[in-house]
Amino acid sequence: MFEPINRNNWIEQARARLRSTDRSPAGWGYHRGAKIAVEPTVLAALGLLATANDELDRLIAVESADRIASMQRDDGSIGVDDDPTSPEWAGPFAVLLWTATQSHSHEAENALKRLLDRRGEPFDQGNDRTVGHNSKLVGWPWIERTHSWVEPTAHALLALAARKRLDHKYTREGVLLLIDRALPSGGWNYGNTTVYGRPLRPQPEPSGLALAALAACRASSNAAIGAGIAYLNQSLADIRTPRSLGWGLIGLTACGARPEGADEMLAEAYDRIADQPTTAVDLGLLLLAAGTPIVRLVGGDPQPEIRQNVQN
Amino acid sequence: MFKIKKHNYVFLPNSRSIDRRGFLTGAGAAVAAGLGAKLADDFVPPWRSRSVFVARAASYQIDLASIVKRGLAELGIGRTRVRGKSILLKPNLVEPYQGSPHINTHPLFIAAVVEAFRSLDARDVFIAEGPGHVRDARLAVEQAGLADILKQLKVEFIDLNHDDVDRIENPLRLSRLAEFYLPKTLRRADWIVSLPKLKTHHWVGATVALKNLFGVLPGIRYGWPKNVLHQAGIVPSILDLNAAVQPNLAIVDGIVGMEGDGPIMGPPKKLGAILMGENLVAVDATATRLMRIDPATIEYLAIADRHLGPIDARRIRQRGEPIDSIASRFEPFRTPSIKRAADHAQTSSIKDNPI
Repeated sequence: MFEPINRNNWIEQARARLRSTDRSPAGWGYHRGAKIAVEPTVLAALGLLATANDELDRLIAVESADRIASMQRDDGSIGVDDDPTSPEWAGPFAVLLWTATQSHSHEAENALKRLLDRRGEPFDQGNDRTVGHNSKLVGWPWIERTHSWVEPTAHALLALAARKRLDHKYTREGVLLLIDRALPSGGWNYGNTTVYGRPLRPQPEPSGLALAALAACRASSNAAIGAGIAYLNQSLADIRTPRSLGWGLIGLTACGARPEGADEMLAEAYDRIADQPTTAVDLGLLLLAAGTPIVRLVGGDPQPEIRQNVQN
Repeated sequence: MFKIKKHNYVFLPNSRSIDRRGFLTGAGAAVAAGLGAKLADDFVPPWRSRSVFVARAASYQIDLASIVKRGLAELGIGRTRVRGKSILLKPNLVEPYQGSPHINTHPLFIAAVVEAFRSLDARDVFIAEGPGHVRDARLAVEQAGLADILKQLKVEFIDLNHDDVDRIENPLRLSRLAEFYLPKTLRRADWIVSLPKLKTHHWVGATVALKNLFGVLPGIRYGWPKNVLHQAGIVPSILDLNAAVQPNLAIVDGIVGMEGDGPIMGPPKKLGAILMGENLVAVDATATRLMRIDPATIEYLAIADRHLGPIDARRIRQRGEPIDSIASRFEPFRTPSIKRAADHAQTSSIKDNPI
């Protein structure tokens, strides 16, 4: 039996699980027994760093950063895992960890060069307005040679911001893409706003990611950001799954709109999974949402204008 | 290219050579024997029955497990075939949204199928899905109302989007995809059972058992949405994927389906039907007839008829309730792309769709 959860002991429990039982040597997979993968390793390491209370956390994070560096390919790309055929969308996660640990600067720059060289595929709809978004704007895809979508674009923008590429033309276009993909009702989904004229529904995870990326890139305060914040504030009230709650709160926090009950929400979310098999992504995201804001963790600071706008 | 041939799949480098037991000997052998990319109608294993069972089911609150068990019996699937088997149930959980329970396969329907297979002494029954629009499978499970069912029945749910993968040759090659990355969890299953929701679909006209297989592919390899399949052509990808995975059975939730702007934005459509069969093409063809849609106008079914199974009613052994006694018109979603698909269904036109 687990003792009752409170703000402090859930964080220590989650950290202990990450540091011991769930951890393979120098990295984590998407689930227990799975091969080491970049995204869970980075989110777990960042979660430990965000709530760090001793040198061991930093050592684990550096060890993870080294492990990820060993997976980088000659062309600068980083796959989902060490399979040479795996797609490259996890590259920005590696950049975030290397930046947070102030390590592997050369590898991070190579990864960034590759990222800037491998963007999504635009297409011209002509007069056939099947989808509502601007399909000519270019961000980043999940898989090479496919269209740009919200989450990989947000991942890329977080990495570009961490490496101080705020004024790069592709960063600016990525920001425009996220604004364009905002849903009429507020928030974001995977990246289709309307299909055949009908608006689609938002989801918390891409909404949180988009807000975090826009804040990191110091996007001008606008209606999409305000509506995204409003959507998340409403939807997160009933959501306690680590992925959605974690990214949702990370996004709100980056915009200076962290809800008052955020700490209790995170404790409840951990409580629900405390006696279940869980993943490094779940634990890492909950810790990341509980601790030092991601933008600050990787060396940036959200735009004051956004925070001011929210406070007003 | 070096290939490792096992009983089932043709594994490519980077995959461990472990097969799915008792499964898919036809596909692997055909490819290994060099029969070429396009396989004939006899690609369908001869033991795969073309019977389709149709039953009435007025609501989700009635004894659905008994209906499913009766259907299995009508299809010749009894304890002898099920005992000791590991059964993977693949529902349709495309995206979480509590306000529209008709988007996803109903949790009580899934529970009934679990109970039916357990009653036939299946060794292991588990649920696996890779939602197409969200990464948070836990949220999809919760908002579909499935979490309580999993807990009550002690059923495991596996998130296929984040599974480790095997690289498998595409045996049919109607699309330009040379291979598939299939979740390793598929190896654990003796049987893969497609549990779709009966819906119209704004890109391809209808989505039932065959299209439901898109959810098998891991998002970490195909994206959210699974855009690789869209760019390779939705229609040929549906057929290629089914030829590669070779699901063993489909049990369709047609109690309340969706019409119009499916697969997520259409209104509910009550039909009150469950249908099931071992040949997924025959099941889908029967399902579209229940929706008063001619299966020959659904492009992937028209093409499937030449590769994977029959859509002609005369070649399908209909069991249970007569189709006309249950069928009800589902309002189609008329779009230029669907009209084109219908116009060209007989000529194998295969379109790409960038999104």
